[in-house]
Amino acid sequence: MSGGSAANLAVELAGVRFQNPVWVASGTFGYGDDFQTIFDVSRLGAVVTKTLFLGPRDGNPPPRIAEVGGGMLNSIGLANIGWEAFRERKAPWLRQHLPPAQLVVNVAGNTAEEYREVALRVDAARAEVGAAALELNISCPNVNEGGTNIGCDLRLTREVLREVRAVTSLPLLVKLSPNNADLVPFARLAEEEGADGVSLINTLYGMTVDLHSRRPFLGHGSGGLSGPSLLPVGVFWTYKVHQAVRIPIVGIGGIARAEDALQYLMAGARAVQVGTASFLNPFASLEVIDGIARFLDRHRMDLEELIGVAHERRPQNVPAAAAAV
Amino acid sequence: MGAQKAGAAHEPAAPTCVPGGQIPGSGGRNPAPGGVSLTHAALAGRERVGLDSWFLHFDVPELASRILPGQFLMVGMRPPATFLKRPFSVADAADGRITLLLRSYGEGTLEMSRRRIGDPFELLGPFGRGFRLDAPAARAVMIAGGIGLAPFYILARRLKELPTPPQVWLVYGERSREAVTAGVERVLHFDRVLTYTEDGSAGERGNAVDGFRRLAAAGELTGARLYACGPHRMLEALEVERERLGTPAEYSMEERMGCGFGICQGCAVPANPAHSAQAYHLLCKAGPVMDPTRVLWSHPALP
Repeated sequence: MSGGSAANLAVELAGVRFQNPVWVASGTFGYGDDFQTIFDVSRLGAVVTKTLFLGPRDGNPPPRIAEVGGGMLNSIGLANIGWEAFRERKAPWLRQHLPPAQLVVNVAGNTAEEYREVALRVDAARAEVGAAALELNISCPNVNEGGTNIGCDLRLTREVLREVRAVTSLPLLVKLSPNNADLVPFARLAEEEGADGVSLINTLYGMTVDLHSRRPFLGHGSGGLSGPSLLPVGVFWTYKVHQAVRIPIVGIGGIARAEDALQYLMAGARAVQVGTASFLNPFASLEVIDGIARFLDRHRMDLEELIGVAHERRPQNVPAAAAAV
Repeated sequence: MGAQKAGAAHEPAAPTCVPGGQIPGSGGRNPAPGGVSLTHAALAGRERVGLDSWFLHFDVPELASRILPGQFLMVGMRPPATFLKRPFSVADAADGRITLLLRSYGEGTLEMSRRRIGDPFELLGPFGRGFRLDAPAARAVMIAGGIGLAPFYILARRLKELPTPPQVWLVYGERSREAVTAGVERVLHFDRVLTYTEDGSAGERGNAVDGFRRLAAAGELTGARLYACGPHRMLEALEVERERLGTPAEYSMEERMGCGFGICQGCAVPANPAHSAQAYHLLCKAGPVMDPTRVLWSHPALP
């Protein structure tokens, strides 16, 4: 319930109840506490943590970000404080300030064994930190396989999923990389291996060359593209994956306004994540929640009626003006 | 895109007063005092003060009252002309008015320099750690390289408001006479202004670090506290000289920033391993004003 709205925004996903379908994406919200002077994070559907490895990582040399047409590139290099530091220094604040919003812990590793180990530790501390679900970031190089991006390789993805699924009963979401010709085989694989849902999409590979130095601009060379240019890509894959699997989809990519989130919901996502938009406007996620509530009020609809509606046969005689948020 | 350091206004333009307020839709969401707010403001004044630099004035009393010297704002235009906002040190904040010093050297800053009085902007902040006001010295020596002049208007103003105000000297380096910010030598808070230009067309020939060397050689830095702001290369050169003298100092640095409050992790500055367990500081939170001994100046990633 939001801003006097009558709409019920609550949604069930992977056996967890979320008070609304608007989450904030990994890597765009820190560990939550950076927002304590900005807004009340308990209003969100969920906070997804920055990707946590077992131990801390420094990340890549600067420059780490670049503005490009339609968004930005980042090559942060998975800088993070590590799982134990998160549990000790960040989780207590979240435990106190986040509910009724849910905590989704995003994890990754350099090898399948590291994924298993960090998942095991999150599972063991799930009550202590208040973890409602685990999200796997599989857009990481596997150091044992010559740095192949796990999320671009079905065999490596299966290996990671099996290791993780074997050690945790936490609801498990797999965050898919869009740097593949087809995401459907990855989504099917996730379903086969017992994942409770998929979140999509992560960033797209990108590069920008500095005309002065005549070299790649970012310190790392390439980076990940995020921002508004991802919207149609993410909506497309949400629509395609929704046709192919039964596990729920969390839509990510280019969401800055309620209109963007509504596209994902209509394409079949049960929840969405606001990402890069929070950099420009830290209040973007709250504005998306309020905008969805207004849309549902105006159209006297339930959220459930909206989810996946784009897959139904096109109705006749819907006036264009009815689409307004 | 560059972390543009901001400067201040000493001669407010004719007021075209549009009250600042919070962005509609985020109203009432702003946290307790001291928190971050997104303020809608119309450009209230615009003065060209150099070949490619301008003062931009905004009448935003609530925000202006919360600015500490050395803090910065993330500044955007509406409708957005750039995807990301740009970081600006606040050049001055007094009498309900915030002033930024803009230098146009990229697409975003060029577009910003073309905005007219009344055009809508977004000001997000204030962010970052500013200069210390609790470490008094008899003499405050400010070393400014180019647009690095920005934070020294407000710093000088606030130092002069202290019960025992220090002498405030400004050493200001620019490329040439055309680039020198007009009127800086008339700012009342500066007791002495030493101007340097690379081509010698104004002041002395040389740069701001040459000015520091001259003061050091004359023994005029004894008991002084140093405040510096400018490009990485200037600060790196200055640090070599300063370390030798041991003058206490604070440096306001710049780096590309996506958000301004720690979440994008873009503004990594290499940390001095002698003083830090981590490889990088995030400038938006650890800075932008840094203890220079905490920075690894020789890092190859620094420009």
